[in-house]
Amino acid sequence: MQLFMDYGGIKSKDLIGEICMANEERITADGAIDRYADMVYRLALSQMRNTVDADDLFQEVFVRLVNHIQDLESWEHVKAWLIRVTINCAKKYYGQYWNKNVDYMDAPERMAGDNGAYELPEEHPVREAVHKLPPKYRVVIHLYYFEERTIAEIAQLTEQKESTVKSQLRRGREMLKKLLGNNGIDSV
Amino acid sequence: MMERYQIETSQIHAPASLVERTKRAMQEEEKRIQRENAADGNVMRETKEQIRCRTNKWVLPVAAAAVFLVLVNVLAIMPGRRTDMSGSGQADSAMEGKATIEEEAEDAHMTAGETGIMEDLTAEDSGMPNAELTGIDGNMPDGEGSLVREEEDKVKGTADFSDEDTTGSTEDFSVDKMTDAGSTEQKAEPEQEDSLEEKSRLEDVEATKEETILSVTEVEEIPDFYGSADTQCVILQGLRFYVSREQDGIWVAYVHMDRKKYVITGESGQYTEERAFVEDAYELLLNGQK
Repeated sequence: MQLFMDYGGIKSKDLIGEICMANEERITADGAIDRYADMVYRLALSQMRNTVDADDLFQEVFVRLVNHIQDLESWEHVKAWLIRVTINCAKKYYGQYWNKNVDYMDAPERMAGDNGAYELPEEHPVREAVHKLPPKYRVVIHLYYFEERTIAEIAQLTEQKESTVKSQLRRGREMLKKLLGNNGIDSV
Repeated sequence: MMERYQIETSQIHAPASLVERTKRAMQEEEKRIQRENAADGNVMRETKEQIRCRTNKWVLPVAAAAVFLVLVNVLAIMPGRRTDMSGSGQADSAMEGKATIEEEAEDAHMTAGETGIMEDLTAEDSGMPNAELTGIDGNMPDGEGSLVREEEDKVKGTADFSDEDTTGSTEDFSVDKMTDAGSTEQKAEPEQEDSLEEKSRLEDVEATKEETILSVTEVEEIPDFYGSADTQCVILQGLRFYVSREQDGIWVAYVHMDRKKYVITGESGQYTEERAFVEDAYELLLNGQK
């Protein structure tokens, strides 16, 4: 029995939840940072691959939020906005890297030798393997597997077509298989 | 593998120092924004929803005002159009009036034709001294109710002459005119002729003293009174009548019509103003042209 109705794709239970939350807590920038600091930081880290740039990206995203917080109507809206802005700001940071013909998979020494690396590669091999992926595959993998977003949501957040997201996801998985397979870790 | 990725990633948390540092930066940004808004005169930044509500408040009244203005303009234009269609400009009204008078003249002519117009019969023709028949009144049986013109001799003494007189290059005509009371009964049907006849007889008697004789003369040159200071210009049916009143009380008028110059003279018996004289003169001109 369907206890909750669908309203244009939004489940009523979600709607009620949002209303309750809205009644309980107004949408504020401080509230947003308390809720989504970890999410933004993880995403920023997955994009920037080092903590210094990730910290800068994190700070920039939330400072920007202050200018736009009044335009956001719900926490879901805030979350989606944060993800999108983090991805766009990351692109700005290493826009030059997009055009560089750099094969991340062939340069594991760079990852290991990066200053500010907070983790040892052997402790988090999958993360390291993901970090080795090109940025466009990295963000898709992170949003799909960690944030558990759908293909359509990822397409909307990254402002790409769904077919593009699917192909990026497929290629990212293939590359991860190669990377992890070389390391002896079970494939996906 | 990807579950492991989730586990590994979930172990990552934003450093507290970073969060605090970021919060301070956010507060500074808020203060900067408030300072800017205060400088602009806007303390509170409006949300999109507030702007939308503010806009929606004015949409309906503005739309209603626009519709009202359109309706008012349409209503204002419509009577003007009706007026234009019914009563056009001066030229059109003049033309219409001229056509109306011409039609009336035609009717009078037709009526006179039906009843038998006797124009400018001399006393010899009618067998009665000083007897002239009007061209308007219709039936005028011999010896009965024929009008006695006291001014017949006077009329004959003028430059006017009957149709038989063809001397000179000009062709004049004169028509004795009844009063308005008698002329209005010209178009009576044959059944009412007898009653009209008696009525006109009575009116003739009463109007004897008031009747006026008009005469039209075609001239080649503009008369002298044209440039006189006492001469007044009366415009009728698009024609300019230059009217003057001479010392002996006779009305004279000059008009240039159909490339011809006419001088109309008439007694000032019942004319108290130039307009009435001009109107009768105009009718006389029209009748004479036919």
